Amino acid sequence: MPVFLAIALHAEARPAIERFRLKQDAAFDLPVFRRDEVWLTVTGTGSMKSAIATASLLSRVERDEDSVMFNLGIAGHTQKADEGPVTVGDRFLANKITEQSTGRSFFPDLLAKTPLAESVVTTVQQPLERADAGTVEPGLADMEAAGFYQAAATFLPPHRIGCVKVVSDHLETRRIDKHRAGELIAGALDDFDAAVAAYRSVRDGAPDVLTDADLQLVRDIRDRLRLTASRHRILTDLARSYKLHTASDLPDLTRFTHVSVKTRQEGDAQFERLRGILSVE
Amino acid sequence: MNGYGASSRWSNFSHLYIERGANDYPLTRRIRERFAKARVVEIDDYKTVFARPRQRFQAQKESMKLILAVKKDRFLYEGSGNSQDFSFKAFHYNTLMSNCVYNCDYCYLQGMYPSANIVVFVNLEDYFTATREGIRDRSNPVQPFYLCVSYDTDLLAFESVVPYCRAWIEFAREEPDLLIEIRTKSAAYRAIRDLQPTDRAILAWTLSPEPVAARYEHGVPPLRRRLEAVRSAIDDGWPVRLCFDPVLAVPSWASLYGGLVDEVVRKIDPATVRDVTVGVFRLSKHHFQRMRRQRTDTPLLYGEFMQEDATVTYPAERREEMTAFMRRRLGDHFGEERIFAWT
Repeated sequence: MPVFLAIALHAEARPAIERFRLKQDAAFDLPVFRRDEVWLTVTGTGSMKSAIATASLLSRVERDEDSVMFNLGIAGHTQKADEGPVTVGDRFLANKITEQSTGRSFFPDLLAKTPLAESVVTTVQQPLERADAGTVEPGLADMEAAGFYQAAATFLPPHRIGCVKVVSDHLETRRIDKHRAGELIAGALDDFDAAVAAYRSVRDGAPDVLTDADLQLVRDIRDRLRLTASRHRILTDLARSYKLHTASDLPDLTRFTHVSVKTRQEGDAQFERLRGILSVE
Repeated sequence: MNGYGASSRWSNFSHLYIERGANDYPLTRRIRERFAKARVVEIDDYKTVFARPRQRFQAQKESMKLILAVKKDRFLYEGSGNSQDFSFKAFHYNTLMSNCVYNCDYCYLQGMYPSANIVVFVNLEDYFTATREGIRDRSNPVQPFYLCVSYDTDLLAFESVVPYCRAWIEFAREEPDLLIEIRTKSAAYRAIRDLQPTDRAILAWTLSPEPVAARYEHGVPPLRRRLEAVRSAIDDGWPVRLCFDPVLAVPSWASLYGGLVDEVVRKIDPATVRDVTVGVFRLSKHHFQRMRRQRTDTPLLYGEFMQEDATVTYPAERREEMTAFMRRRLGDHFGEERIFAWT
């Protein structure tokens, strides 16, 4: 179950790289760090760069149904300092991501219960200044989330995409010191780790009654009998039907992985034999 | 990474997604009060949440969200070929809500909607206006305007949150040419029990053999409780319809469904029932294919099926056998004239 992380800056990524003991993988053109099932890409600043790095990672690494992907980074908050409950270092899970340039909003699916509070995140093209705080929905302002989300949503279901932001400032114009950014991320890693674990615990429903071995057997038969895509689908459904209706394992079909088929008629005959064996009516 | 999060899901309705335009409706305020602890996310259009690509229906079923929206158009739909029209020329349905709190293995909503989240349309008055127009413009003024209001959902099951059954019954009471059907699997009759019965509102209960309900109708009250609700409604004077639909080709189906009929007539006097519907399992081809892609865990969607036009159902011989069986068993008690069958 791979876990993918997209983080804009090396300074923000460093605590995660250390925490998960990741090593750089030189096989990638972009900076990618990994260990076992955890993959982290350093995307660079901005929505476009985040989208490119996210799409690049997800298209190159083998995913499974349970893969999750997170964006982690710092963000400004529209609330003025000392005028509300939000303080620097607070962390939030995005429940709505708005792309300021287009006005479009995106909604990660919030099925997993995490220890994080939630917030709207507006992705801006330039750092938002205090004077412009009223131009966005109250909440967080960042520069990557919308690009990250759109790219990730091309590959993953919305409940497997998360965006976690740590408050770095209240839209003061001064630049955030890299060291400080790293500290803020490091302080949020326990909650972040817990959020990732919660996302990974969510299942997409009851598992397929066919095991990986069953599916491989069906593929082997397909190859041996030179079945069309349509017949392969029918055979898979027949196998599924057999297991669901009999509540037992598939019968021994290994002989069908050894037969030789020279003509279409021979293939049809073998297929009908299979249909007879797997029929539960 | 740590082990936090085992089985940590949000409970149902942990989040309310509310269209900006839906904020000022009384029902929105009521729901916000009802789910005071829910996290509220403001949205422009419900489809941006409901119609996201790659959503997982069954994953969402374990943590359904509520989406409150304003329906912009299409307040009435003409009945589909997979539904029964009860010989009414003007058979319509509406969609006051999309999706259902229950989760039946055979439910077509899994194939119809991209999401398991529940959409509630809060602009009830617009539906009433459209329905008045439908009544006025109906093609056959001799018959009432027949409208199913609990379609693509189970309205009574959600009555404690969205009191639309009550609202529609009161509306029907004021409209002499309207006949509504409220179809349900719930046992929540008490939610409307204080209302005076009216002949313009049929309360329709879908019934399944208890072993079928227990295995395939997740979250639905058991047969016993549904029958108690049916009996209460009949005792109070409501016109009640019993729906044996879908009849499923499960092992020993004849014994199970024959037993169901016996159980029903033991508990309910057939003479007090308005009518009965029967229909074997059937789905649109499109919905069936989408359901199969998502559901690889239920025997109900795998086995012998055939396609007729755009409908997937059991092979003709099986279908005719099941329908004839049900007609015969029900006919013994209810008489042929009160049985409506989809064939």
